[in-house]
Amino acid sequence: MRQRFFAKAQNDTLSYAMKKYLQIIKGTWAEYMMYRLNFVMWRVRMVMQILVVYFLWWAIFSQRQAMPAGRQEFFGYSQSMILTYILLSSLVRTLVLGTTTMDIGSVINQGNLSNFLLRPLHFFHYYIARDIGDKLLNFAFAVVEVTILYFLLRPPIFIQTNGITLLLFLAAIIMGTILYFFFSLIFGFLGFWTPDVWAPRFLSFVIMEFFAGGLFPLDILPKPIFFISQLLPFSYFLYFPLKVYLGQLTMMTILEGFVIGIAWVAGLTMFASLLWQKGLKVYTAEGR
Amino acid sequence: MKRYISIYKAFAKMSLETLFAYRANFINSSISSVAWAIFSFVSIFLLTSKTSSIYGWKREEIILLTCGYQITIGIFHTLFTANFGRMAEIIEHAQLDGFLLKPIDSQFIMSMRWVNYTSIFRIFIGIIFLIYILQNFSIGLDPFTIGIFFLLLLVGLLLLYSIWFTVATMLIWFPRLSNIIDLMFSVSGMTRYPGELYKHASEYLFLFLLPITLVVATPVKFLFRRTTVFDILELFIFTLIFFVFSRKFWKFALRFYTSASS
Repeated sequence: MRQRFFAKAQNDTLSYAMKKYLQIIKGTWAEYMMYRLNFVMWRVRMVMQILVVYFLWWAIFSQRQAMPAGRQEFFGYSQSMILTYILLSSLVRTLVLGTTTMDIGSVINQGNLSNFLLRPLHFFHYYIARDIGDKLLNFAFAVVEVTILYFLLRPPIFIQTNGITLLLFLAAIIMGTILYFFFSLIFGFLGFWTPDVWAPRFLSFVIMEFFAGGLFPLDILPKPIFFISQLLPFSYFLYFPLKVYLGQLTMMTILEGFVIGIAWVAGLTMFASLLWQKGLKVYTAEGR
Repeated sequence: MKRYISIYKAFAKMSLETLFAYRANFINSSISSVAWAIFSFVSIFLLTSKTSSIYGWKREEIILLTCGYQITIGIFHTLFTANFGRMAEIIEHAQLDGFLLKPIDSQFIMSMRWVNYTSIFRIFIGIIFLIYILQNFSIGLDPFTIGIFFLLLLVGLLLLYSIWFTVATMLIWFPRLSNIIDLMFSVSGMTRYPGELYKHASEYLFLFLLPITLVVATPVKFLFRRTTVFDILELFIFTLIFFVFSRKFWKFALRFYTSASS
């Protein structure tokens, strides 16, 4: 009897927690729908960015097609590999880099953090749920966009059929997502110590845009720079998952990638929690 | 005119004072701006490294296009961009009344109130790479060509400004549409590649983007003397049309300003 009671109570808390997070996700969507025109603009921008990169690569390869068969590849990439890389990057981008944690800095600076501290909900969990909402909505849009682009442009694309590779691809995306979440969180927590939260974040964006591999696969970089890029966390956001998908990495390299990536996840998670604990001690609810 | 120059001097001075007040911010943003410029050069060097020409543009010409882009966009960000960001805020929070009441031209104050000094470094980097490319590929230039190049660059700049201002004016009807300013960053980014890139992809898209593709390409083409009289006329005509339109459109839009929530 007692056992059954506990089982039920546990079930209730679980479904209660689920409902709570589902509500946050729904709230995030409602917020975006309130500013729906803005959201559409954001997506138009994303499509434009992907199109420019796509046309650029298309142009580079159209020139190479006149060459003899052996020289048509560009740094070891065929046209279909690169175009797949670019189109797929727009999908992976929404999952890994879609975030709402950008406003944490101002939440702290304006003293709004107090509202969160009063709620029976961990601050991190709240943002994880919000991010899931953001990622799902953007992903849904990106899938539609890429499908439309595919039918309009009819590019030669590469479809990975190996089940294990696809699983590894999924795992790499999840790793990148967790990594980016804590990376972004750390920049938000700077708000505990300084009101200048945008400038460092912007700098991180600039470096990230280059080293995440959104414009081109990183392995076309000169060897020393490529080596450095592999040690930085950025390459695990886009380059690593996409490279796993294309099946161009050996098992050993994939393993290495996961080891370095997980080390980064562990490091950044600990650092973020440390900053959170230290930050709460100096938090003065300024502006309230 | 004299009055406007002295007002602008005051604006520039005030922006400089803000800069000194937030020094850390200034240093950080300058580093970002420089890093951004350098990364875009690295990318274009890499992407064209195994390519001799794309759609009739030689490799060095494509790299020169990136130089021209960095200079143009550097000047643009220094003089105008910060104002467009603020414009979105001002209209959304219905603070436009305060600006309209001032006894000066409203378009002037909306587009020139703030100067962003951090982007100046980007102009320098653009010029340094420009000189480097000209020497490395031994493209000899006389002062006359360079003079015309900078003149055309300024015309292109005015065209870019007019397009931005026209788009930003739409905020009067859609105050919540602040992302439209972000979108313009991507649109401006398209000027750094040859227009032929878009033409080969889709004729419709190219027609739509035509004015924006002239901004940097026309002056740069003049450097290696590929500009025809038609190209230069095209740039001037588009600039004139867009500039006049941006003024008329702004005046027209102001009639619909509701000052909601103020």
